Parts: sequence; C-alpha cells; structure tokens
Amino acid sequence: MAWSLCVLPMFARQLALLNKTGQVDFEINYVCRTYAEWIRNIIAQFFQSFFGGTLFLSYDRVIAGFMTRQIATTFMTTTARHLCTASSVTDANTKILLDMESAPLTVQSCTLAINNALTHLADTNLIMINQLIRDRLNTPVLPPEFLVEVFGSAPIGLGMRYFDVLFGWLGQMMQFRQGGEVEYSTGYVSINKFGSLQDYQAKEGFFESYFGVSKNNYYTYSTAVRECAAKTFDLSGFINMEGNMNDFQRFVGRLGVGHDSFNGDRAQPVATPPPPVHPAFETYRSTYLFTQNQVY
Amino acid sequence: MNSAIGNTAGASPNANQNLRPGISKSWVSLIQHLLVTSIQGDHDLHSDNIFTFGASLTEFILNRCAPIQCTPSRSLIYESFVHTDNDVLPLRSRVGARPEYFVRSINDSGAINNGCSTELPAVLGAHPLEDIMHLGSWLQLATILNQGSKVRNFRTLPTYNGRPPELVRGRTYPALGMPGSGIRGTVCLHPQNRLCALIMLTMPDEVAAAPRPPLVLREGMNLELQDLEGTIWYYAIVPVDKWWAVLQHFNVMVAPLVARRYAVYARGETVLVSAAHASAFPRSISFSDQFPVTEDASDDEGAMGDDADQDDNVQYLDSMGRYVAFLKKDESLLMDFEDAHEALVPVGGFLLVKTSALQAFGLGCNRDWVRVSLRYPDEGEIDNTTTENEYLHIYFAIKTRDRNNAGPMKIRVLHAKAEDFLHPDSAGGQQHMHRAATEVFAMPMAGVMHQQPLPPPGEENMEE
Repeated sequence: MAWSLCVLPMFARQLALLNKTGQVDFEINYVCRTYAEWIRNIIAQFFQSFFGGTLFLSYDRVIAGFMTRQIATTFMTTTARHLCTASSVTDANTKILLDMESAPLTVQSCTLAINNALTHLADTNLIMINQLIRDRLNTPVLPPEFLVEVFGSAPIGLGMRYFDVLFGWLGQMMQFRQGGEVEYSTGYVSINKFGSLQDYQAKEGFFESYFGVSKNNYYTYSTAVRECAAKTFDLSGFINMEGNMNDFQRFVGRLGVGHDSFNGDRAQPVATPPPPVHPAFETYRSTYLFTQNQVY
Repeated sequence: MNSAIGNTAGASPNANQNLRPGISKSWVSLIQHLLVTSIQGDHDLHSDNIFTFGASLTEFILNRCAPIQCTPSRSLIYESFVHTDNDVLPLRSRVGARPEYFVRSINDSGAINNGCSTELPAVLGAHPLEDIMHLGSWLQLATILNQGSKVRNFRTLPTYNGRPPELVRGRTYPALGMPGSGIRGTVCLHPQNRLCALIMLTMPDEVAAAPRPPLVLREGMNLELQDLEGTIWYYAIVPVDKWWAVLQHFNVMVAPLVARRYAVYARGETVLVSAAHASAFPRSISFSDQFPVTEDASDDEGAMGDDADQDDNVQYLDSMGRYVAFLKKDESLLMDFEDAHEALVPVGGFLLVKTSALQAFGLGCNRDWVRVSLRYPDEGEIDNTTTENEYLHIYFAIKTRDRNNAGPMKIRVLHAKAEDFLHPDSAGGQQHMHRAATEVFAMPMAGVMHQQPLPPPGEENMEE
C-alpha cells in the first residue's frame, strides 16, 4: 500500500516524461544538466567523424533518450538500495522520494548515459572497415595517450613504451614500393582490391557471421567503404597540439622514420628524389580512406 | 576526376575495354588509421567491440577535457556481448588520468570583455562547476527552497540535504555543520580498497557534549569519535557505506571543494595560487587495524587496491580543512575552506598584471598594469612548467595585437608569478583598474630596433 501510494505515482510521473525529453530537463539538477550540455557540445564539435552520418542527425534525441533511460535506471537502483537498507517500507519510500526529488540523475549516471549514447551512435561501418584494414596491415594497437604525445609537442624518443612498435610498423609501411601488394605514398598506403566485389566475396562468410550482414549484400559493404572515404579525424582543435595532426611529414619527422633509413641510401651522396605526388592526394590529403577505381 | 569513390584517377580508361568500373585499390591514411585503431582497442573482429569502442571513445574524450568528478566511482560500466559464452556481461573499465578542471576554449569573449565567463561560468559564488559536481542534489534542493532563483552561496540545510554527495574516492572534502553549530570538518573515502572513510570533525565543547542517540555502524558497534591527540579534532574511521549516515548524525553537509591547481584566491590586494598538499593525512591515524585491504580477485575493485596511482592520493584540502596557496616560492599560507570559499576568484574574472611581467613573452604597452582574465592552462602548456608547488603560475587570457597594430586581435593564454598580480576589487586595485590597459602589443625583438640600417644599394659606387 505504501509503495502504491508513495512511490508508484512518482515512478509513473518519471516514465510519463520519458518521451517528452524536453520536459525532463527541469527535473534534472543544474549540475547534471550543465555537464551533459557541455559534453554534448564538445562531442558535436570535434567527434562527429566517429559517428554514422545518418545516426548523427538524431544526436540530440539520442542523448536525451539515454538520459531519460538513465533516470529510470537511477530510480530503480535508488529504490532497490533503500528497500534493502531501510528499516521499513514506509521509511524506504520516503527516502526514495527525497532522493529522486533532488537528483533523479547523478553525475555518474550522466556519464553512463553519454557513454551509452556514444556507443549507440558509433559508426559501425567505420569499426568494421578499420578492423579489416588492421587485419591487412597488421596495425599495432597503441594507447591514444601515446599517439596524442606523438602528435603533440612532448619529446619522443627511444626507450619510450610503444615507440619501437610504432617505429617498426611505420618503417615497414613506408618501405612498400610501387607495384607491390601494398604501396606507400605520402602518408597513405594502398590496399589492392579493398572494397571491391572480389574482396567482398572473400569475406562474405565473415560479414555474415560476425557483423550480421545478410548474404549477397555487397551493397552494404561498398556503402561502408564509401562512407569511410569522406571521414577525417582531426582532433587538433580539441587537443592542444602544435601544428596539424594530419601532417604526415611532421609525424614521421618526430618519430625519426624516413625513407633513407630503410634503403641504405645514406651512403649515397645524392638521395633518390621522392616520387611525384599522385594527383589524388592533392585533393584527399588527411581523409581517412579513399578508393580509386580503375577500368578492368 | 577525383572523387571518393567511382573516380578514374590512375590509369586512363581505355575505350576498347569493358567500361564497367571496379575498385582496384583503396588508400588508407596511416595517421587516421592508427588513431581509429587505438580507440577501437585490441579486440577480435567482431561486432561486440562497438561497446568497447563507445566506452573507449567516451573515456578518450573525458580523459582530455573533464575532471575525475564526472566519474566519481573512478570506473565506467558498460555492457558487452561476450561471443564466446553467448552472454551479456557488465564490464567495468577503470578510468585513466584526468585533468583537474573542465577544459574551456581560449576565445571566451564573455571572460575577456566582461570578466564573467560565458563557458561553464561560476555556479555557486565563485565556484565553477568542477567544484560542486558532488553537490547537484543539494543545489537542486536549495533552488527549490529558493523558489527557483539562483543559489548564491553555500549553506547547509537543517536535517536534510538531498541525495548523498557523489564523492571521489581518495579525495578529502570539506564538511560543514548547521549554521551556528560550530561544527566543521572533513570527509575522505579511503583511496585504496579498505572500504572505509575517515571523518574528522571539530566542534565547541558544549556541542560535543550534547546527548545524541547512538548510531549503529555494525552490529554491536556504535559510532564513537576519537580524540586526535594534541588538537581540537575528533575523528572516526567508519565503514564506507556509513559515512553519509555519520555526517547526517551531526547534521553536517559536504561543502564545495577546490580540487585543482591554478585556482586563484584574493586576500586584499594579494593574489595567491592554489597548490596540492605534500602530505595531507595525520600520521597517527592507522586504517589497517579495523579495515584491511579487501582481497577479492574476482572483483574488479581488487585491481584498485594498494597499488592505486599516486595521483589518486593527491590532496588539495588537508584533513583539517585547509587549502595551501602560494604567493611566491617558499611563501605559502594555509587557508580554512570557509575563507577560501570567500576568497576564490571566478574563472574568467579580471585580474591586474604588471606589464613588466609580460616582457618575457615579447609583449608590452605604455601602462604599468594590464587587465587580464583568469584562466587555466591548456593541456600542452602545463608541460612547460613543473608540477612542483613553488613554481606554480597564474594563467590568464590576454588580448594581443601586432606591433604595428595591424592584423586581427588575438587572445593568448600566458602565465606570470602570483606576486605580479593585483586583485582589481581591492582598494589598491581599484586605483589602477581604470588606468590599466586592456590589450598589449607585440614588442620589437631584441636587436632588431638598434640594428644599423644597411646602406642603400649602389651607395658605395656613388662615392667612387
């Protein structure tokens, strides 16, 4: 009876507000509201590329939706906690009401809601494509902190953790010359047939079993590649980094990786002139991926 | 023609062959690929890593721009589908290092023009959001009681203060009793895995002697305050789930906490910069007698045991409720948290800095003082200074122009020693405020001005 009279109306009220996300705002305390709004703006400004284009159109609704879901979750956990610890149900109900009145959402819950929203919005195509590229190139997984250091101004050198891994891998990438399976040019490497029908057919079983892509659905795969082609992950406006993090020359310069080191050209008085830049790179520098078609 | 897909860059199409386009090769940017891979993490090729991708991305963003108060439990829980067992399991990842404050953009026009930050401005008195992240429920309650108008100052509410504050484990928070009670103190949830909290209180003798109903902490174990020898303080080490009950027992509420370096306090004309305590806990208190470290390998909490990062134990408030603030090297003072609350300068607030302190940056003007806006250092700038307290500087935003007054105005973030500042609200500060410059100019570089001008071309020949 006590539950029905005290807590249930409040529960119903919160649930009724779930779909009216604008009206939930005034229930959420100022701290959570300001924090959520601020992080929402940061993400929208700097991290759009990590999300699917179509999904991101409903960005605000997704954030608000996960916030309201989190209110329901917080409500349930608050109820459970007080019912477990209070001396009577009436006492528990009173405490639940008091807690929910002042804070239907906690800061920790806000972070979880944002986490859930970002997970929901994450570009699955990007994840899929990146996994496939990683499989081809055998890319090392480095902590983002280390990469940010490399992009930034902190001294980089031998003895640093992960330095050898990155140095070795990058050197290997830069050794790939024209005509091979993998080809290097000005910060990009090419992967033959990647995104082609032939490539899709080789991976069809994998797509079907692991990513839920239905059989004979080359369109899904080619769309994923096409979407990734236009992406740029430029965090230089977000993280304080000297120069542009998309500048590959600076990147390899800081690491000390260069053509000469790998071909034994140092002994030669005149270094081989670098190959001319492919016209495609003039336009698409710093995009994540692009594909080149050729007539069979 | 170059387009993302379907272009014909490379070999030219041969009209005699089949014109059906196909993909020959895709080009991948190594930098971008490395970045995405690092956020994606080391996982098998499977769609369940969307969860970990989302969690890593959230952590990456928070790691760069938000303080630990946003994740007070120091961990993030997310669900993941474990495909080997076909089960949905909650996963917990520990959060990494965080900045001490919310990162704000340099070009905060409100701060630079009006002295009132438009981006995450002061919320409660001069306290910005990061100081009161744990007080959301109290703020809401106070706002309701204030009939919806903004709460201007912190005060405890008699008997009820809303949902328990969200404290960051291992951080000492100030606590304040009801107005007029004379009770003040601190509370700290143990940084390591001892599942206890240290509560320290001081109060007038008559308040301490007042009869109170017993508070049961555990079966057969009531709350008893211990005397801290040689001081006016009492302390209690209580189970972690009882800390809020103990504070309520004394009608005590957790107050705002300035848990950051580079915060600025103004005392009269003097300006001081906040720092961290070298050691903040009384050595005579031992936690290990009653609360040994929990060793449960099956629980992720176990991983946060005694090997907790050193950063977790940095304290900005000592256990007796005092901040440490520096005026200059080797000259600091301890400030009670109530005084600090009054003395705090809001982020974005105006300060006056000596023009001579800007010479090192190649900037100057024809006035003695320049009006600047208080800021925090950006991520890259902290690397240039040391974390040692005596070298702490005050960071500020300042309007700068080129030497010849050409080009657009730029806002730069610079730093200077605390002793070079004056608080504009003080008597001395007001004298200088109306004569202070609001922007500075790039000074000519040393040697350039006095360089002998080269003779015009062909002059020697003319002499001949």
